Amino acid sequence: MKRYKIIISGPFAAGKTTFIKTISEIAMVETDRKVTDSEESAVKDFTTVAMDFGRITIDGETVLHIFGTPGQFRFNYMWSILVKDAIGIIIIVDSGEVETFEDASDMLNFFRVKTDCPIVVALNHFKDKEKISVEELREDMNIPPEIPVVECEATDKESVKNVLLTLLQLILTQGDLYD
Amino acid sequence: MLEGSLKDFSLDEVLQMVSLGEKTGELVLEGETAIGKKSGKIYFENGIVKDAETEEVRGEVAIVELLNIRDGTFKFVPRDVGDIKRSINKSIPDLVLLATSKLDEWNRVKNRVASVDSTFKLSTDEVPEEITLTPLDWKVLSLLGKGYTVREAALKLNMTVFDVAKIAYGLVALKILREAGEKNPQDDTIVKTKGAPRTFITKLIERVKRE
Repeated sequence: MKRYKIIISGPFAAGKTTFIKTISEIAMVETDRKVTDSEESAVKDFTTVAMDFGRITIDGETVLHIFGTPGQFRFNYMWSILVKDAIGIIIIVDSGEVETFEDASDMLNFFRVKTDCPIVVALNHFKDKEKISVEELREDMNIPPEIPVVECEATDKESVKNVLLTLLQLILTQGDLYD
Repeated sequence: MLEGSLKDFSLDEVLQMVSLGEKTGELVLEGETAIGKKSGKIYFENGIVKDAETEEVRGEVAIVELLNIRDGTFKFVPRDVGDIKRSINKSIPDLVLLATSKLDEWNRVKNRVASVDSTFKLSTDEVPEEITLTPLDWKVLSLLGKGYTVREAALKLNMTVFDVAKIAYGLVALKILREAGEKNPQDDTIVKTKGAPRTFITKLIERVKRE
């Protein structure tokens, strides 16, 4: 069985775990632990400390693994480990959490420096939260034009599929592929 | 397409060829600089520099690093650059002069800032009674004090490593910072993807569409 992987990354509580749950064909393997940081616990109770894991089977011979990274910078050693041999990266940003854009920008720079694989930024719109536009996010995070920014809702399957398809099309045009 | 080694043609000569020929396209550069390996592209429109990028940065910051490549290769690929946004408005001689002056500064600061991978610690024991720092000095100090290397701070602040190193040099001279070591440059090695079969990606696209 040949396995390929993509990475889902983004700041704390951006919607990475939800994104993987929405698209994975298996019940996701999670490594969430209770949040101990007082500021972070005000946002959510549990956080990913090692990785999330989802899967999409193509046929009897090949499978796509989807790994979600922890969002906090202190776990960045896991980002380096998980990104090895990845074929693409999706960075999820919560459109209502402007204060996390700097962290997202740091992550984007981290992956741009560490890898040569295609990257897509997904602007996740949580319900009832203030939304910003793709153009505003691009400007705030200083995202270069060659990196696509796609709007999404991590709980909506069609929306998550659209992000994944954008990444796959980018891999087709820019990725390191062989016949 | 124009392709070769920077041993046979200096970068100045290549730039002149593209400029005098009023060429439009991208100049791909890869090689060694005073701060390690660099690769990137300089975009030209009718022989005038329009934009530049490395793996990490764009614009003037990128071109300063690329113009310091000495041992390496170049490849000029003619193409339409209408999709590239202009970020550089300086002439080639001005850019070369800027890159050379940054390199000169780097050579001067090397005795206090050994490497772009150097890390620092705050050291307030011998700080003079009163010092004045610019907002940019503060930004650099704040990042280097947190353990960022010169290279990482430059990336975060969208500055050249030369400019960050120069500020670090000043802060070390003022005894606000002291060099604490060097991060393993290997940590910054780009992870090359193994890639995937084209058929896998096309099958995956079909599979996701069907989902």
